[in-house]
Amino acid sequence: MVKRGRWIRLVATAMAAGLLVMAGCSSGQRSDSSGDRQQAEGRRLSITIDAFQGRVPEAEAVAAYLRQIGVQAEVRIWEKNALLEEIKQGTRVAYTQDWGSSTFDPYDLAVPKLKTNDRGNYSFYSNPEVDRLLDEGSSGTDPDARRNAYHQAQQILIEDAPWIFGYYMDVVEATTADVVGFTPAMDSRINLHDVSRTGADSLVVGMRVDRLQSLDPANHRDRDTETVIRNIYDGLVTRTPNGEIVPELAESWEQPDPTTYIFKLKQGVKFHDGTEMTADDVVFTFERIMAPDGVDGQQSPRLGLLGPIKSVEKLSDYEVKFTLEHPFPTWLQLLPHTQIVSKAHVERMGSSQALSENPMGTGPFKFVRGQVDTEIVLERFDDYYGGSDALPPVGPAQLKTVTFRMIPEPSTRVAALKAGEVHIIQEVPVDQIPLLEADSNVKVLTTQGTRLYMIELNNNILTDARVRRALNHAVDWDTILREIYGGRAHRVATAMLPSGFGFDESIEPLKYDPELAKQLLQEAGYVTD
Amino acid sequence: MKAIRILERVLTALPMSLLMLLLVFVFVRLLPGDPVDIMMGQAGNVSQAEIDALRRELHLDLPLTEQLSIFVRGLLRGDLGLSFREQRPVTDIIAEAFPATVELALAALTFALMVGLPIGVISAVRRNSVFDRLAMGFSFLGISMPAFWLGIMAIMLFSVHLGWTPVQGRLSAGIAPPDLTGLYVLDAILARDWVLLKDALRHLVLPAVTLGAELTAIIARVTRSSMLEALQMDYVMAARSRGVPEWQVVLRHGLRNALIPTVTVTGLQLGVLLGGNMIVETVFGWPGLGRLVVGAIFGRDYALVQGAVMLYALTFLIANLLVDIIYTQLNPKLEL
Repeated sequence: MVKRGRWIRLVATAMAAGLLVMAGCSSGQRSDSSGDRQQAEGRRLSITIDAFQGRVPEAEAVAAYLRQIGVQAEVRIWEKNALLEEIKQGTRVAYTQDWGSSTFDPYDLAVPKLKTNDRGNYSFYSNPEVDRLLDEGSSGTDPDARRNAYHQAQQILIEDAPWIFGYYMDVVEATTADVVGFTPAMDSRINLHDVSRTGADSLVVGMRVDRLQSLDPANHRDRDTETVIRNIYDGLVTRTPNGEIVPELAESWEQPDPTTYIFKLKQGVKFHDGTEMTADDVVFTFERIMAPDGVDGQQSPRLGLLGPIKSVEKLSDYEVKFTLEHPFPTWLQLLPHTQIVSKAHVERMGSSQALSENPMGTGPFKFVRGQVDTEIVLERFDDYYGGSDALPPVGPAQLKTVTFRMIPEPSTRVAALKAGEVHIIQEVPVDQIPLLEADSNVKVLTTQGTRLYMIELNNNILTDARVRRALNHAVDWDTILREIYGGRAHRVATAMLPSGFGFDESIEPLKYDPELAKQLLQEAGYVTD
Repeated sequence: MKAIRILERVLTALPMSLLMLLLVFVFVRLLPGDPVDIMMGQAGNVSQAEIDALRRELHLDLPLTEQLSIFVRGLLRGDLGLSFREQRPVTDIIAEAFPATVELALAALTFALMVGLPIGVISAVRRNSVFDRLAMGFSFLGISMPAFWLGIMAIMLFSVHLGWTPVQGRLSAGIAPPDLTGLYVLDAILARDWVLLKDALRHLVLPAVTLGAELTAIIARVTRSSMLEALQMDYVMAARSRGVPEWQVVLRHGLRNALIPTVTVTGLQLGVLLGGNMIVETVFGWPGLGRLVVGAIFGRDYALVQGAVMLYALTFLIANLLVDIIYTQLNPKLEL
């Protein structure tokens, strides 16, 4: 039904476009063949906003605002991945996009999205000064200089307006009223170590995905998979719900020079099979990801999460030295994404598949049973070393049994929560929040998300920054975010998140000012009435 | 003789399945969208080296003809390849999801036959009665109601409000699934585990009824109209004039001859049900094939899509064969 609905919409859009052509309304001005508009004195700007499911109402609203300043604006609906291919070929003009950051630093957001020719630069924006500042911000060694560079980059970005800047969303999760000690995390992880339930010692989490990729910590690239794995396996360091890095399996670390980290490990940490974790396991874990044939003869998909790592060495049973290729200030922010495995266990299992079926780490819960498409059942590990000192309570987990269930349909997740079948759910749909808030058996919890949503502009087609700024001034985002996303989305001035390093809070988002927008368009040579 | 005919049918269907597989191989690659892009997520921290390595691993850097030859060589060894996203054999992943779909499909089919057939027969016998009108009205609703709406309404009423049935899943948390056939109801009976049976049935009833609602309505309508026709036939009048009791007339002379259209429709629908119902599976958190395949298509997991299509071809083949065999049982004049 869903698919059929999409087809009908596509067909309807196509038919509508056909009618328009016949009526002569578009007079051959297809936005994707518009080319360089700057020479088009006295013409009307026409833009097709390409959107995919989930952001169509928003795109329609933006188009309506653009029409108010005399832009001929339409929305075209795509399947997300089909659209991306077209965007990369440079044939589209404006498109809804999003990009997640997991290091709380523009290094994995503004850098890939806006540096010239970088991997995620779908807007074809290129400004050598911004490139230089982003490099300095993401690879410098002095925090103040880095912050300063990022601040300057934001100043230029807001002038250049490579995109119609957008917003980030709240992470909205909900629990039954008897759940104690659960805090939603900005990286949307669910850490059950510190959670308990009044009157019960088991808990079920409703996950938003239909399946996990693997329970082998080195063989997936998926946040939700990591959420489950992170309850079985611990890392050298972990993150607080607010994104701060704190020691976990590490006792402490030092950084004698910008490319060297020496980690002291906690002593007496036990794997679930009772063996002790030592530096050998840590070295093995990292080398397994670094080796081109580390996971069943192939490269682990998590190599990129090790940053510019050059080598890892054991100094003693409880000391490990990491060497980087070059200084990399966000390296510690990447480190929670690597979970320590037992060398002996992985070698015994032989394959990634076998390891995925028998996961065994140092985490607060041990694996009991489960299937990646149904549910994963875990049980408290009584010999747990206690976890991070920075995240009380320290000690074994409080719950005896925890289950992660795959419930991809949001309404079903909400119903399961209301019926008490599950006790924590991920990603509450915006339209259901008021209903849940009115229910005294349920608690709705929120924190800031780390994914940026925007409407990217093709800077090779819209080459005039005045035009791009005009498009920003034309849209009343406050109204859109309030009406469509129920106030759960928050405006962002440029391409940097308030939760990230180097965010400049003094920069105000481009304000809603249709008169200014018209004026800018006129200056650029367009008709606006 | 019959066995040979059946074998013949199977053998002639094999080239068709192969052809279809080849078509899918090409079409799935023609879909816009890059699997590697999707797998690596639109997030930072991914190096170009990783992307290139992955593309090589999946043979996506090779020309289409070479990819095809690798695929066909694997196929000849009975190997459908590794899922792109999970790096596990496609056959394993499908084998995990298929029993859930089979169980749901069979339950939906059983429900549809047990409810649809009697309604169709009674409506035909009591033509234009209040029962007939109500039944046909409801069957109209059954055909028109979208499954996702019906499913969510059923959850709201029976699970959240009344608390009679669980919201989702195949078993309650805390109940370990049996490890036999993967059809939990059957497994529970085989193991004589009545707690498990009750739990599995409680979880099965809402999705089965939701999935079966449309088929129930179709069966009721088809049975009614073919019964009406059969009851007008000479042999029915002859039976009546011989003084055969009315219930025997209806069942033995009427229904038996009226069943052929019903069997046809049911057989075709069984193929559809076994193909996996993505909507019902998604709404009820049922880890079946439909959900798997939709995920695979959106994720451009070419290998998994190919494997699933192969299975679809087989299920349709078998369902059609079953229908033909039942025909000959119902009417010995028909041949395979």
